[in-house]
Amino acid sequence: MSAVVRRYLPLLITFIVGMMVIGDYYFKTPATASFNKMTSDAMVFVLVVASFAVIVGTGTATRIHVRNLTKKRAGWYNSLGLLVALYGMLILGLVLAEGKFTAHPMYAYWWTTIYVPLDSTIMSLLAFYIVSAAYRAFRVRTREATVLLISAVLVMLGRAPIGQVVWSDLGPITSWIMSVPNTAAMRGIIIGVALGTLSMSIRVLTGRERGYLGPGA
Amino acid sequence: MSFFDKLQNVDRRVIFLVTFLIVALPLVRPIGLPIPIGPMTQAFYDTVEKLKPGDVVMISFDYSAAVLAEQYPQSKSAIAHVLAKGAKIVAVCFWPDAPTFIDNAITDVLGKAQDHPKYGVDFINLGWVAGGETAMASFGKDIHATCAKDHYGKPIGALPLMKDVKSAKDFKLVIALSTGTPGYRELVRQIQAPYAIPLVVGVTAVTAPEVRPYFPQQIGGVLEGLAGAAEYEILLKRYGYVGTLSAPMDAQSLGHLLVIFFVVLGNIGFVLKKYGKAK
Repeated sequence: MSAVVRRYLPLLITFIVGMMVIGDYYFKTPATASFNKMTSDAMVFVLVVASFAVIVGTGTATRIHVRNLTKKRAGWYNSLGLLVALYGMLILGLVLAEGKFTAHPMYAYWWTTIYVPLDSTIMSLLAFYIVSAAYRAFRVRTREATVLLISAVLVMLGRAPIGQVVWSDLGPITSWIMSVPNTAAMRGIIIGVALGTLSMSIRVLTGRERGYLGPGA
Repeated sequence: MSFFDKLQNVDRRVIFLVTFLIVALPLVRPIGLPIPIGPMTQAFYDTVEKLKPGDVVMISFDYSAAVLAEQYPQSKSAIAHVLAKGAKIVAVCFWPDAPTFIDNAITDVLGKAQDHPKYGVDFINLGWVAGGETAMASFGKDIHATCAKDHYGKPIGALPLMKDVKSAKDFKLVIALSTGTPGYRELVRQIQAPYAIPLVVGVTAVTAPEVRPYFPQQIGGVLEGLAGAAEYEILLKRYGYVGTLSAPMDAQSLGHLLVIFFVVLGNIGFVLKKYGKAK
């Protein structure tokens, strides 16, 4: 394959597929039915690729962690834990659960009694760190920090039942903070992100942005 | 170390221990604080209330085990409410963790999931669809091409519920229980906006501020974290739904008070020290 084809073929495919999806959004008439069907099939193809990406990801993770183990790199025992968990659950799902994974009660049991409590526990630990971090970081050093602190206290109280017990007007105040200043700021961020995404999409479609093709593209 | 410094530097182990006790005690011995209904929860409830018997609702479970405490009660309540209205549920997830949560939530509400006599008639679990936002777009366009089989491996074309449900156009409402990407934002882009279908969402408390800008145009109602779930449970009492979140909400109340207490304590030390120095 010549260098020109290697360079421009992916850009051409990106452009055609991108225009197909955009066209499919705007043109939905009986005359464009076959075109809409073709786009639909292309989207299902993406899902097939995404499913295979899981296999590729598993292979890559295995390679990296086996290398950590064989070379006895720092924290190699974590790699061992990962491989045992990964392949243990894979064997459980493929062999003992007849390839049904979470659809099989036995696999679902292991999933629910090992992975779910672990993940929930890690998240729960945040509560302790949030209390500690809030205590150390929230100081009325500047006017802005004071405004932030007062807002945080009002919202924290207002979003919990105790707030209404302490002061019945706290609900509307919290609601106003969330609906007016917060929404205004969030709306600005969302519009900014949308404009950024739009400009990046145009750059990708027109071949100006090639980072997704890998290094040297 | 001066007294003011001590106020600002309480040992973190003390903070952790007090946090544990303050959060655990109400779980063992609930206080029963009254839970007022917020406007976002009321809007969520009102939107679901508009469903008619036979309407088909898509419920997207896009969260991981980390947020089960907040989103699992939302999931159960939403399923119970939709079924109480006589509507039908097409449950799906775009996060790999969630098929089991769908199964468990349906089992908690109906006693059985896959083996329930109404499976495939009143509700279906389509499981995980890989591909993130593209999967959502594809699902909206052609459900049968995107998910040929349900979570248990049955062809969905053979299930009575799916005979008339071909694309997102066939849904009367979408309920997004989401915590990240892909989630409610992607559903707004790929399902709500293109097909003009009402959407309500249940999110974690930290995500709630991000959802507000979409309310009420794109998102008709929001369950905001555990508080939203608890408020929703109260609204569902008229359907005989028995809630479980009174004690966790007490724990949350005291937890918030504790954060405020420590923040005030630290600031007293900070201000007094600063004032003392200035003097």
